[in-house]
Amino acid sequence: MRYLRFVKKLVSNVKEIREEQGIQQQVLADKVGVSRQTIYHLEKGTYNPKLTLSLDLSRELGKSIEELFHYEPVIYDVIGKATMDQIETINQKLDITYDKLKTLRDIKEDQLLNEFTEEQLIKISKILGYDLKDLFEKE
Amino acid sequence: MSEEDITLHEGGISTKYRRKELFKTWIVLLIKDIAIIIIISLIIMINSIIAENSNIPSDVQEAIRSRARIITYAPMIFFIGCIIVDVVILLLNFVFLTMYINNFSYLLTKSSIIIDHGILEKNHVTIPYNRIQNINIKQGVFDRKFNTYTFSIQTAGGGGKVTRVFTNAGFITVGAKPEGYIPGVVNPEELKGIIRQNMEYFSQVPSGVEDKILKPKEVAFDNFISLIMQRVEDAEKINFKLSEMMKKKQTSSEELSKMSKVSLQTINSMISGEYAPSVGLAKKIAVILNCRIDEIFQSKQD
Repeated sequence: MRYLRFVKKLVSNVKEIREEQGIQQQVLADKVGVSRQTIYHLEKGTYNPKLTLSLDLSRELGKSIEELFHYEPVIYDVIGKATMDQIETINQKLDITYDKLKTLRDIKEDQLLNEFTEEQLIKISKILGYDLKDLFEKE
Repeated sequence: MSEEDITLHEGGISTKYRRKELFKTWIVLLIKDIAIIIIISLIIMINSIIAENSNIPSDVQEAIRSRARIITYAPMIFFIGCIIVDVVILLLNFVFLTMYINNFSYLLTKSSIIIDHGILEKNHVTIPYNRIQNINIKQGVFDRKFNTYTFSIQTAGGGGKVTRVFTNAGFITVGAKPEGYIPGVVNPEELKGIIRQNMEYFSQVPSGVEDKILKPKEVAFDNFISLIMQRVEDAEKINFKLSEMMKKKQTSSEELSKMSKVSLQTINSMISGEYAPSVGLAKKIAVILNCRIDEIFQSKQD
């Protein structure tokens, strides 16, 4: 049986943890021996850091790597950023309410095709401005 | 002389260009003369038709006949005048073109194209290869007869100003030509080849540092090698527990490679502890093996 997987991306929690501990970017950068820009890009999520750097960060911040970075389906972010227009279009064209759409955020991968049809997912992706393959991987 | 100033190619306008331009002027003058002859013969024809018309009173006919006589001789004088003017124009054109050709030269160096031109006003144009956008090779009707080409190099800044003046021989371009304008080129493919080669050479370097980096390909390769070296060096700071974890979860390296979409070599070099992956890849592997990153990769300093 074929099923769909979420496409995931690496999300960094470094910013939250750093701010929680009240450390400035520059101070953290000096501690782990990189430039402030590196920390900035790392927090923004545009940079996939080396393992050694993340091990250093995990030591400095006293958190495990699992806490510093996590994998998140791309669709979480996409649904979070959806505009009212897009939500309304999905509601009218596919008869899917926002509450139902939001279940995409905590649904399990193997349950995905029981709740939504592939065609619906293609249309949802399109309305949100993505291709199906940007958000879901076919297995 | 620095290495960038080494001349790769040197040239000027072929004298074929002068022949071509003179031929062009001559054709224009010829058309003008033929037009004059046609107009004069038409006037003579109309005059004689009117003169032979019997409905017109004889005294008027006589007047027209005497005018026709004048009109028959006048064109001869007018025509000779025309030919003299034509010869003067061709001579002046010849002198102008000779001076233009003698004062035009171009150089292709390692860093830029240098064009020198101008009879009274001397222009020295330097076009760096990284500013060139495209190269146009044009062969007009007259170019085809004389087997020459007009070569123009378009730059990001746009072309220079061109002034055109209308003379007896049609429009003549005077003053500044576009920045990278080389007329009367006999070997455009050779020229284009050299320029293309140099453009490629500069296009791979971020703008602003072209002059600082002489061999961009080598630098790119160096960067790549140093990245790999860095990863390998980093590996010494990490304790790899990947093979233990794989045994525990009964996963083969082939499976891991297939699921993480990473080459088998990379997986194997991580198992043997020679290569430190990025956090993204480490996380991917941890997810596949259903464990935590710090269970497979640990810092040696802790």
